[in-house]
Amino acid sequence: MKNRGYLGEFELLLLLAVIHLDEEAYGVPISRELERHRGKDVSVGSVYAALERLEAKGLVASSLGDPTPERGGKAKRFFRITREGLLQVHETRRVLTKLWHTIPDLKFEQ
Amino acid sequence: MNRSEPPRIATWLLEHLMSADSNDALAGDLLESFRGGRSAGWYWRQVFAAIALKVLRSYRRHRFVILFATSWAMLSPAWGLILIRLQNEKDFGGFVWRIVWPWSTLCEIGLSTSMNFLFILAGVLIYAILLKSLFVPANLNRFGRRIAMSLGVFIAAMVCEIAIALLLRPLLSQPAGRGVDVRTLTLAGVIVNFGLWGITSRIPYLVGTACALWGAVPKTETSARVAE
Repeated sequence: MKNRGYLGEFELLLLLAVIHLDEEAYGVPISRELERHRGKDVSVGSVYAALERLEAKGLVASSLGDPTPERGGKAKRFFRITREGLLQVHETRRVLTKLWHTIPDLKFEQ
Repeated sequence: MNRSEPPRIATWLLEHLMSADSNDALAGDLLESFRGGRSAGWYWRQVFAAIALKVLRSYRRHRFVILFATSWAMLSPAWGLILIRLQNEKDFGGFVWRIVWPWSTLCEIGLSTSMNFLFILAGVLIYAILLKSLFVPANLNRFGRRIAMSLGVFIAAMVCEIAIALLLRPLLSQPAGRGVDVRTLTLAGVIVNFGLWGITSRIPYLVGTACALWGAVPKTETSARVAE
C-alpha cells in the first residue's frame, strides 16, 4: 500500500468543504463555508495557499471558469477533490475516529 | 467611495505584489465578496494577509539562497580590503590619473564596480558548485539575465549605500573608510566588524548575490500549477 501522510486540520477542513460544495467549490463559497463552521474570519489568501499546496500534492485539481463582469472580468478557479485526496480524507477520518474512541469523555473545566 | 468599487490602493497593491497565476482568481473572489456586502476594512485585511502570505512563501522557497547570500555578504569586507591593498601595491590610482578627465573618473568607477562585482560572481560560482556537490538539481533558467540584473541592482545598492554613508557620516564610527590605516586591518578583523558602517557596506553584496541567485532554487520545491 502506498504510504500516505496525514492531513493537517486546515487541510482537512478545506478538503471537506470542497467535497461538500462539489461543482461550486471556488474561493468565495469555500471561505464562507469555513467561516460558518469555524465561527471566525478566514483569509481568502490562506485558502488559496493551502489549496495550491494540496494541488501540488495531487489531492485536489483546479480549473478556471469563464470571466464574469460581477467579478471585474476575473475568472473563478474551481477546485475538485482527486481520488488520492478522497482516500486521504477517509484515512484521516479513520485514524481520528479510532483515536477518539480510545479516550474517555472530556469534561471542560472552567 | 463608490460602494461597488473596493479601495483602489488595496486593489493596486494586490495586482502588483501578487503573482499572476493565483492573483486573478483571488482578486475576483475579493471583489465578489466586497460587492456582496463585505466592508472596506475587510477588503484591506484580506489584501494585507494575501501579501504577507506571499512574502512568507517566497522567503521559505528562497531560504537557501537568502542564507547563502547573507553568509557570502559577511565576507565582503575582506574582499574590499584585498582590493584596497592590491590598489595600493599595483598603483592603480596612478594609472587612472594619467588618463584625461572625464575618462579617468569613468575608468575608476568602472574598474571599482567590476572588481567588486567579481566577488558576487565568485559567490554565484561557489553556490553552483555547492548545489552540484550536494546533488541538488536547481532551476537555472534565465541565469544570464539574472546576473545582468544583479549587476544593475548591485550598482543601485552601492549608490544608495554611498548616499546613506554621506547622510549618516556624523554617526559612523569609521566615516567612509577615512582615518583608518588599512595596513593595520586584518581580513578576520574586517569580517567580524558588525558596526553600522560594517553592516551598511555589506548590503550591496547581499542584494546583488541574492538577486543573481534568486531563480536558482532547488527544483524539489515546485510551485503548484493550475490545470486548465
